[in-house]
Formats: sequence, C-alpha cells, structure tokens
Amino acid sequence: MKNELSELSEDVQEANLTALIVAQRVLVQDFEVGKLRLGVSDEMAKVILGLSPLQINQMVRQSTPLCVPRINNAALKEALESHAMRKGMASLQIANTVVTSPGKKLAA
Amino acid sequence: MREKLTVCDEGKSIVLAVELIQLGARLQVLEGVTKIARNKLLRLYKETAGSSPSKGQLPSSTDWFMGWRNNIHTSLFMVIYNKLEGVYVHPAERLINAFKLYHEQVSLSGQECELSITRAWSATRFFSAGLLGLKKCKDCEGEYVGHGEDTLLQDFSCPLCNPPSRAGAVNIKAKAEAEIEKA
Repeated sequence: MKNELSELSEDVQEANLTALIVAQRVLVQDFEVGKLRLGVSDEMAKVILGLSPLQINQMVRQSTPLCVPRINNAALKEALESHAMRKGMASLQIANTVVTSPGKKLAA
Repeated sequence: MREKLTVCDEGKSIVLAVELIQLGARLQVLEGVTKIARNKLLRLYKETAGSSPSKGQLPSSTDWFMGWRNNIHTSLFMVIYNKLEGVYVHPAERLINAFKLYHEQVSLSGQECELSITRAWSATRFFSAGLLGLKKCKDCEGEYVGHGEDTLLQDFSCPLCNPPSRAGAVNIKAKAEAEIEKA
C-alpha cells in the first residue's frame, strides 16, 4: 500500500515537472500564442516563464497535480456524451470550449 | 490611394505575404491584409507559387459558413482569431497564426481542414461587417458562428450538442465521383 502510494506520488511529481517545463517551452517558442495555448493571462505567463529551476523543483514536489482540466464539468460531460463523440468531432468541440473559456489569472 | 510604406514595413509585409501565399491565400486576401501595391503582389505571387493567381471574385454570401461541418470548423478558427485580438501589430500575423493553430488542432483531431485561409479571411470580414457573429452554446459553453442578428439568442444549442438529423452524412454520389477521379 505504502509502495503504491509513493509510486503514485512520484508519478504526480513527474507530471507536475513535465507540465511546468512544457509550459515554459510553449511560452518561449511564441509568448502570445503560448498564452492562448495555456489559457493563462499575461501576468501568469510571465510568472511561469520566470520560474527558476530551483523554484520549479520546489513547486513540483506535491502529492497533488498542479494542473486541472480547463473546462468545467458540465461542458466536458456535454462534449463527451454529445453527438460530437459519435460523429468523431468531440476533439474539435472540446478545443472550441477550451479556447472560449477565460484565461487563468493571478489572484489579487 | 494606398499609403506609402517604409522599407522596413514593406519588408515585413512581403515576408507575411509570402507566408500567406504558401498557405494558399488568394490575391484578394493579400490585398486585404497588406499594403503592398497590386502589381508587386502579382509578381510576388508568381515568384512564390510558380503560377498566376486564380481569377474571379470571392464568394460574397455567408451561406457556406452555415453548413454543419463548415460551421464547426469556422467557429473553431474564429474563437482562436478572437483570442488573438490586439496581440499583433500586423493584421496578417493574426490571420496566419490563428489559421496555423486551427490547422494544427484539426490535424490532431484526425479531420481534414474544411476552412482554407481565404475562407478564413472571408469569415473575419463577415464578422467585421456584422453579418456573422459568435453565439454561446448553453450546453457545452463553446462559441459557434451564426448570422449577425441571431447572436443575441439566449437559448442556443450548438451544431454539435444538437446536430441536424443528416449532420455529417457524406453525399454518396459525390464521394463515388471523388474516388473515380482519384483512381
């Protein structure tokens, strides 16, 4: 049980590390398009881009994932159960909903 | 009368125009998003594409965007295009980047792109003129293209949450003809 938990915790930390490194790469490649891809505000994008390796190392040491789905339950459920799924268009529907959703901002 | 371009501006416009031509844009698109003179654009087109641009006017009706599949594709492009508002100085950059992101997403979905860059640009013009707009779906919260006057509807269900009965059905005759042409 303990081993299972620690393995899961390691996987979560690895996913967190991958998410932050990919986010930085996306922003380095094209800052403006990167903000759209990540769904974050200008301020949040600058914070992510400015994270040092040490800060990233501290941030990823969590037993819970840092990233959560960008669309709410109802919209995701609708996309997955809708006709779009049967017509092979669910991925486009989810993309539309994700892009439409407001970007994440830093709390005041 | 087109305003005079600085050498730097013209250089940047030429680079963007070449990219647009490579993406398959018609001459009207280049004229619409760059300030380069028509005769220069014609030469640029021939040099880049290796042939003269197609002649004829672009469709002036919004009907194409109302087809089921076309609507879904145009909607995805337009939500991306709207998100890039105010980001780029040059309008061609916004068009190119929004189209590339749309193309990337459609390819990842295993679909074929229904929207060409020329259609995409036409859609942006129809939006600017108020002939088309985006409506929010009450179920999935995505935004979908509709006629300008319909965009205030509150109780709207998108073409994916509430598709028409023959949505996505392929015209069997057209498909057979296409296969014969391929062979």
